[in-house]
Amino acid sequence: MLQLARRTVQILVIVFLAIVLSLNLYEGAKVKRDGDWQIKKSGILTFIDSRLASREDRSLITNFFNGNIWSLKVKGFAISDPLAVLSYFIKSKKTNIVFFLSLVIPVFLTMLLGRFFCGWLCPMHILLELGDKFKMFLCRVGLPTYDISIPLITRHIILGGGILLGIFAGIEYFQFIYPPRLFSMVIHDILFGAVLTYGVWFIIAITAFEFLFSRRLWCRNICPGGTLYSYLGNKALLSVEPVRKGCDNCFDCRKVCPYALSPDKGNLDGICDRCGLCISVCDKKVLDYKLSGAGNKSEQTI
Amino acid sequence: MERRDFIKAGLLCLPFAGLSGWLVNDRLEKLSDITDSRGRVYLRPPGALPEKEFISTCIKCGRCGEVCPNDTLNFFDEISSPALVGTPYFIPREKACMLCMKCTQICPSGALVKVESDDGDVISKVVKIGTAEVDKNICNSYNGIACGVCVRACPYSGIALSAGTWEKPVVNVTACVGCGLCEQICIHAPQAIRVKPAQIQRA
Repeated sequence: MLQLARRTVQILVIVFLAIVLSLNLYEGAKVKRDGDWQIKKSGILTFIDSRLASREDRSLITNFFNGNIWSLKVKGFAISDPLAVLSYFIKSKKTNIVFFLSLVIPVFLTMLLGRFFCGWLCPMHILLELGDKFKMFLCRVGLPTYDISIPLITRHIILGGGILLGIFAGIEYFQFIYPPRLFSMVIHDILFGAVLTYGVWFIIAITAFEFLFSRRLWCRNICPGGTLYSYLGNKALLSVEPVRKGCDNCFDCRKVCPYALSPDKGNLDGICDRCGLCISVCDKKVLDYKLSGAGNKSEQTI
Repeated sequence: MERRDFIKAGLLCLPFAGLSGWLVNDRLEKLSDITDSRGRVYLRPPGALPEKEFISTCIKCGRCGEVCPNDTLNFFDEISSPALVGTPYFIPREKACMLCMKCTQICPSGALVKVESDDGDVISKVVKIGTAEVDKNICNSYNGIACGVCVRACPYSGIALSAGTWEKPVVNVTACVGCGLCEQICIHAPQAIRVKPAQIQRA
């Protein structure tokens, strides 16, 4: 089942980030003077120590992946979130080739698969989808739900305005508000002792707002990273389209889509995060992923 | 309809404009202006670019602090200085820098200039965290009690920090890299030798 697979991938991403963080911190503790005490203090580090301490290739294993979802290194190869490189460029105006090369894999995959990072990998996304489920529960028990909505053009102003402010006024706010970067702090706090950094509070605030007052407003209309991915994934090869006949105009796909798109018309492109909720909800099995680029487009949505 | 939407969106972006304006008011020029409630001065990690450049280059990934084997580096978390939040610093009196250069090797954006070598000469050419300064009013050696602990702690002992008569510490301002080991170990409370943040980056 598609949604089961997607949920598994989302959870695996968070688990992966937690494991990488733990291994990196373990390796750091191993070379510290009081590292043994730090390892003993933490159950996770003690467990890793019991498995890896005796191995000769210990540092190869612990540092094979280094970093987090904002900035990662795999063996010797750097992979960065495109927003990290963009925010770096607009403020510093530098072109560090090695750092720019870390863009290649995420940008290539996004141009191939569309805004799939948001739907399948972003650790914030799964929290906000829980907000959706919570609101459905509120509906069922008869409590009021809200859906504050703002014009779709807002996200272009937030991303575009941020870029212009960065270039001309040296002000950069993407790094301040982008949830995946802040998420490493959350994982660190949960696993290794809570220092309630601003990042944790910000994520709690967004989540609480989305649970109570809006439906996926952050992903749909605010997140600068999501907007950047939607530009990059605008003419992606993979899209979601009606591939079989038999649509009975029930519009379930439109109701379930968090971006208020119309999958039955096949006009999805940049903004669609390939979550596949429309595919899963359709009883007539009309919709599916299609790897062919622009299908029949009546309206473009970036 | 489009114009109304545009105005509505513009108004909704006011919080973001406010946030940006707040960031503008940030004091970015000299990190030495920014002290915490106890008057301690913050230092950047070794190999850091000059402050304005550093803040625009640092992507706040946090990996330098993770890799530091000395638990030296911390990260700003004070919302009062939003442009600084997430950038690394250290306070030498609490934990000085061992000059292992691991943070510079891991920095993905080049905010910390990479130093692969562990040769002291190479390091002293790139690193200029600050300059140590002796407070002769309180330093033991300048007040009749021979000490000299800071000179022994200095990784460039005899070059950056040398002992005169009575073990009086004398700082060579061009040779000192600003690691803060002298400040950390000073046996006087408050410390008689402090690192002043660098004003000019050594090439």
